[in-house]
Amino acid sequence: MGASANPNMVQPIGGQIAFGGGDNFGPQAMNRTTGFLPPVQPTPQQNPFQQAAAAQTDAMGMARGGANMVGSGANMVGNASNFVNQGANMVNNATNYLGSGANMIGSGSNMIGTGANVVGGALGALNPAADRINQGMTQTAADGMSTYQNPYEDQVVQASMRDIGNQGLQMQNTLGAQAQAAGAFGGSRHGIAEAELAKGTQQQMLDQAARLRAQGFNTALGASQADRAAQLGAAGQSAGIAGQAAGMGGQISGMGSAMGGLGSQMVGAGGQLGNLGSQMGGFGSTMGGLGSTMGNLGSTASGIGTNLSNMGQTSFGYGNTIADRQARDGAMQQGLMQQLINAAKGQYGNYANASMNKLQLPLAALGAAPVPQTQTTDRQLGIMDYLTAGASFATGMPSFMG
Amino acid sequence: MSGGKGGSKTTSTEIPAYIEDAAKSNLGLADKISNIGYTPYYGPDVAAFTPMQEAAFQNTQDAASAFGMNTGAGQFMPEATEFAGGVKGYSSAPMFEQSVENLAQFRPAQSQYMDTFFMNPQTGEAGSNAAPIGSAESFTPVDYSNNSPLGVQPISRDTMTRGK
Repeated sequence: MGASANPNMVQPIGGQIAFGGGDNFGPQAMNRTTGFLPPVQPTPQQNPFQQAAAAQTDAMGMARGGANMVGSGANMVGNASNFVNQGANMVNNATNYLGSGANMIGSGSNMIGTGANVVGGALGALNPAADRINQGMTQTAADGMSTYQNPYEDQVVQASMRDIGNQGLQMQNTLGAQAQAAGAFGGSRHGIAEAELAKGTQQQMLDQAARLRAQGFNTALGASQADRAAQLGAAGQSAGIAGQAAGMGGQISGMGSAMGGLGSQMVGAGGQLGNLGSQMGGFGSTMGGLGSTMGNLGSTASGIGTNLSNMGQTSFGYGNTIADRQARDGAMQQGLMQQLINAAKGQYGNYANASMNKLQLPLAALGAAPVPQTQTTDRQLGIMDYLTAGASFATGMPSFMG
Repeated sequence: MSGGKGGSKTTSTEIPAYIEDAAKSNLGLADKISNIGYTPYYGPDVAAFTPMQEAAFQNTQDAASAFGMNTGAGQFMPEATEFAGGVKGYSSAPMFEQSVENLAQFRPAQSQYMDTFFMNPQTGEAGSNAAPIGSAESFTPVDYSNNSPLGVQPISRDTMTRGK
């Protein structure tokens, strides 16, 4: 069966598929038009032994290939199972990731709220402090002095004036007494002395009053300044603490935002992981299917190998039968030739022995065998003895025919 | 015939003269015939293998070769000689002559003494011990001429030696 002129024509699979050489199982290009394998080109005629050997080789190759395919299929199924399990684990991990991500987002939101509260509280503390600081920037200590001025200052001054006045009166009395004693009472000198005493007493009273009032002013001013400084310091510290609290609140909010971002990333990663797990599971299922298919193909290949082996055995049997018949028929022919040779050899023997056989003719003509003369120790030999001796002499020669 | 103590009994046989003459003639003839010596056979002894047998051998070798085994093929079998009538076979004559030559080489005395009992197969000269009864007679051969009625030619020495 030769190849068709139309390369697209599908040739029936038959005797043209030669398995000889063990090299006809390689992949062949598919016909793009028909989708079938191209027709197999006929190979040179092989004898049954070559066919048997080729079939046996192919069978062993198919059997080995089938076994390998079955093994590979089993491995693929095992790997597929691992893939499926890993995919399931990935899906579970993805679920955990999603839960953790959601929790982190919730925690991030809470932290943002906490941060906002902290900032709010800090702002609540910062505003009064800022107001006090602003107020302190234009306020003087004199504004608060009235708070610290002695409300009994006038009574103290009056009492001190009275004391000084009483002391002046006592001194005036003493001066009057002294003047009276000296007889100068009512005199000019007495008047002058009393005027000086009054002037001194008055001056002392003025000095005392001024000193008391200056002391009260300074005391109130110092207290007012200390109070103002303490209030401004406390307001500054409060403002600083509030600023720190606001910063911490901002950091907490930032951390909450970061945690929310991480949670979102975790959720995204969980989603991707879940998809990968699903894909892995799908891939494992596909691989398992391929492994099963490969195992089936391997079993089929083994079956084909067995069939090839049987075909090879059949071819081997054909070859043996033909060779045996050839040997048998050839032996018959050789036997015939041997018979011919033996016949020629016999004729030659007769030819070569013809001269010797000539000696037998006289004996045959006499028609008698030599007479035995063995009973006497001394005897005369007979004619037959002579004839027999002649014949024996001839037959005693080396064989003419070997 | 029987014999006793102190005497013997002799039985005599009368032989006719023509029988006695014939006996003497036969003895002389045997004496001459014994001079001929051994006449070797130069024809085939064993038939060669037929083409069909050789095909069977070849198929067996092909079978071994097909399975990657040693075929045993070689020039073991000598080439057969084609004799008259197209018969192919093997002759023992070359090996016989080789043995005779080996004997002449290794044991010349024995070989040459054996030859004295027969005529020289080439010249026809009688050996010194060729005719113990009568006188040795030499024979002068004529040159070879083919007398085969069928026109069969003798096989050449080279073909006989090497076959084919």
